Amino acid sequence: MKIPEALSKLFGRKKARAPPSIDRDVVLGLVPIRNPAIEWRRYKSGEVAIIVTVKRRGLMARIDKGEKKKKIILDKMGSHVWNLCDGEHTFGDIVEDLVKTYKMHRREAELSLASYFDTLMKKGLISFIPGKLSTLRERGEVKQETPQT
Amino acid sequence: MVFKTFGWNGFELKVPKDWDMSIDRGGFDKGYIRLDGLKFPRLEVSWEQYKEDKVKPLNDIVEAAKKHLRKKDKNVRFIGKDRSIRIYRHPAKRIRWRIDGDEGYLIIWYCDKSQRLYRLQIFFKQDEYWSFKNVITEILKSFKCHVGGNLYTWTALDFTLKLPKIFRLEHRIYKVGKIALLFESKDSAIFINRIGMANVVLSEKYDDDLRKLLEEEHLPDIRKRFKIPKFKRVRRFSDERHEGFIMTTSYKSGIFMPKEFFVKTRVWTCEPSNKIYAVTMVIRKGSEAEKMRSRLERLLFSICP
Repeated sequence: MKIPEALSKLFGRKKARAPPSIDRDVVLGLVPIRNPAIEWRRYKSGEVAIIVTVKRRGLMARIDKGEKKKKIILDKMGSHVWNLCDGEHTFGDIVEDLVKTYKMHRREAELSLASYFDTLMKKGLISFIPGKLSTLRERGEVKQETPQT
Repeated sequence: MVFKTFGWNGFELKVPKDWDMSIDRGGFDKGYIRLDGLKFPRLEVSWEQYKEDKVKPLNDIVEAAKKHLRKKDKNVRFIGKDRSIRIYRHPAKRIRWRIDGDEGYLIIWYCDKSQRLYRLQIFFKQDEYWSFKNVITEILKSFKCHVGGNLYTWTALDFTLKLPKIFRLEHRIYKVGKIALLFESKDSAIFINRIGMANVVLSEKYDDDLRKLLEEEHLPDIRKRFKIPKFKRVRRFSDERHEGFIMTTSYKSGIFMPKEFFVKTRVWTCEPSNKIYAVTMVIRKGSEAEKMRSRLERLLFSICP
């Protein structure tokens, strides 16, 4: 090791590691799937309501130890996307669907969908699998049937 | 490959249809834009105004650019000799660089008509060079660094408009589903709003009331800059594909020597594109005002596809 390199290793600031970049094609091929443990229902209007269990915090948690159920009602577009998160549509398929259904620009559709999925992921409502559920079942990579709501 | 015309801040070029602007900085005198393809960045254009006698020789600029590239990445390699080419009849220098599997063309030239120094960069993968070559040729062949006539083209995503050269882009908002552009000249201003997913936005947020949308989405942005009062006259209009309102008013600005401005807003839904367009013109009243108003109306009220 050269002296300047050694010095910089000793005294230099550690560079923040850049997050690994993922190829766009890989992302478009991912399949979003709803968390099977999540309770949700579809109204006649087409809107989807997701029932989330929230743990009480602070003083309320001392008084009432039970859990609180919270209902999240998705808007028309959010519900439409939620219905497509059945493990049979890839990210790319859903983008195509939004472009066709809502006449969105492709870039706008990709961006808004990515940010929506990010929110759903953070809340633990969806997850991504590497291929379509039916294909994975055929390959024997998924054994259990996901419960239908 | 299908190409489209892209115009911004006084220049025009042809790019593949799926390339769109992803970064836009600066203004008319000095600026930068980047166009991305579906997978990665494809094109960069930066421009800066210089008087002809202040511009350094092209060779010096190219050397400085090479030095900058070397500083940025030690692995950069320059392929072949620097070539002298012509862009829209101006002498230009072209260098080709390679960093691992990525390649790029850097072209630098000075346009004496617009008094701007241009720096154009095109990116491609090493293995796609031969399939990509016709795209590079088309871009270089079609690049107009100074545009003739009286109009400039402005392209933002799927939205293109032509405006008189006196207008400069002063403010822009790019959000998912919304593009807002404010152009200003000495005596007039144009504010354009394009809102996507019209059927969802209108029904879910504004109870299908276009005027409510106008009050909450379009006018607040303009009222930050102009003292637009309530509209005095409102007229409804509709044709086969469009439905909306035309609203007019006027206001005075200034205490000692007040200037009078005429304001016209047209808001409409375009069913085929599922978009809402709102256009507001603010024109100072005067001898040329009527001519300008009718010219802008012709250009702006038919912007939707």
